[in-house]
Amino acid sequence: MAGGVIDSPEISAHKKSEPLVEEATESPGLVKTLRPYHVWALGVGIVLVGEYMGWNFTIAKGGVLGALLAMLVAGTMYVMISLCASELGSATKLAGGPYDWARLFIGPGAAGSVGLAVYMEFIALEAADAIVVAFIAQEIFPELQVLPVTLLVIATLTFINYRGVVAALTLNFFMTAIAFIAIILFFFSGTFGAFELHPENLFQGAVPNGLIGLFAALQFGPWFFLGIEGAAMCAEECKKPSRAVPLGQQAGMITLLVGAAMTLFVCTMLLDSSVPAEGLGVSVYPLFEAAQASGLTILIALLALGTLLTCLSSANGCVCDSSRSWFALSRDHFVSNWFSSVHPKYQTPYKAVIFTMPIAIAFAFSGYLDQVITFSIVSGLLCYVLIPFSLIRFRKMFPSHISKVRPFVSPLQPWIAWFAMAIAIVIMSTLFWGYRYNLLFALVFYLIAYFYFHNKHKKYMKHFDWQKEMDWPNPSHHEVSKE
Amino acid sequence: MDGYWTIINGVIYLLAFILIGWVLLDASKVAKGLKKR
Repeated sequence: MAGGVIDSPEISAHKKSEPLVEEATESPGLVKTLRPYHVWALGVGIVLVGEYMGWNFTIAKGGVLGALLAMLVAGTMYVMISLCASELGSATKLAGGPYDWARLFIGPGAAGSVGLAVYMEFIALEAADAIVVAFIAQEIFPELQVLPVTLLVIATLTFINYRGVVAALTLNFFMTAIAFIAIILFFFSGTFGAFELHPENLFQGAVPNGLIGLFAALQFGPWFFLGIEGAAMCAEECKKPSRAVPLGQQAGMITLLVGAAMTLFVCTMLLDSSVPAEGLGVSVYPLFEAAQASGLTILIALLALGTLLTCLSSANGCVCDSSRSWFALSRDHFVSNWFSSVHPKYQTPYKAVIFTMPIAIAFAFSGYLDQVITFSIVSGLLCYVLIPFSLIRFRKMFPSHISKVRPFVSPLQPWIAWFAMAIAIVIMSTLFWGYRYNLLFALVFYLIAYFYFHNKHKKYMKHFDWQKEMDWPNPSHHEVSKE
Repeated sequence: MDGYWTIINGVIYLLAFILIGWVLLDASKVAKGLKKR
């Protein structure tokens, strides 16, 4: 639905099973101020932390070749998904991102599940980032406690996001840019001979666990790019979403591909990976440790700063995305409509922003960081199945390329959407190596959510007026859905 | 030295609670309709 919803008597009188059309269009909505670089900052800001830590678990499973394969396979999937997301985001221009696409083009069951999945993906990631910031602070000052620092990080980012999306994403832009420049400087310092590289490392730990290791390594491939689809979630707050979303998201994807290749190259050249259970494969901060191995103080300081900033920018972007997902769910009565209010001064979904805080704190203080991250990855992978599927449905429902419906047309569709879905399912299946219970729990959780939301909102699309809500012509199967 | 770090940890808690408090207070004012654009 275009436009946000302010607390009003109309809303409280609204019945749950009816579409929320009139109220939404009459109320002032989210502020439209964002530019392409904000979209870039949101997408890359969330993801770049994966280059600084986490991706190296691919080395422990599949060696250097496993890491390279995981990066390429996951990279291929993400390029395709970001193309799908750019087309869908620039077409719908809505804050809910994958949730809204599933709502419009698949159905309420899938929409509710994917909305929850996006919310859980980003909020779990925010909690994990906040904990890592606290651990980094504790490494610098051992007397600092993890608990208060984690709380301060979550509270500060909630405060910034509460005060306005422009300030939050401008801050993200600078933090992300510094962290990315740090990777580039590190890479070129090595290639231009500022420190010694060890090419023999590439062959010593190439394939330690054979073909099964290569396959198992795929589960950590998403670390390089996890969350880039979230860039499209600020579409409703962009000045020109049809330009800003594809431009910002595709530039973000190129940034991440370059960053991933540079990180993999420089880390494997500097850190030993010949024994999977030691060295690079189990490093907590691989880029920082690689900088330490280079022996150059300025690079060590720069990569330490980059590690800290990238965690903060990731958590900041996650607050923004998870609140928008919850806001969109609330606006359509998938969860309580109480959360769908927009702040009259800051024009942010302030109740949804505040609601990220207790959930993130609960995740952060649960003490199960690896479980939290795995839940985030499974939730993300579920989105990666449903985003391309939304695009396939979108193309079927609106086959003609008119700019009013589809301002950005991604190439080779629907083939790449099918291919992206297949890769996402393969990567999800590799989680059976080590995380089978997490995978089963998450799938059962989202299956229950699917049937719950499907039953609750099954009449929703029958009342949907495409002309009124989206200013689009009726879809090709409209007569069927109107029955 | 221990006391010094206890104070710092306490100040960090205090800062976090001030931020949370400000956000909740402002939100309650907005929700009650006391705050306008």
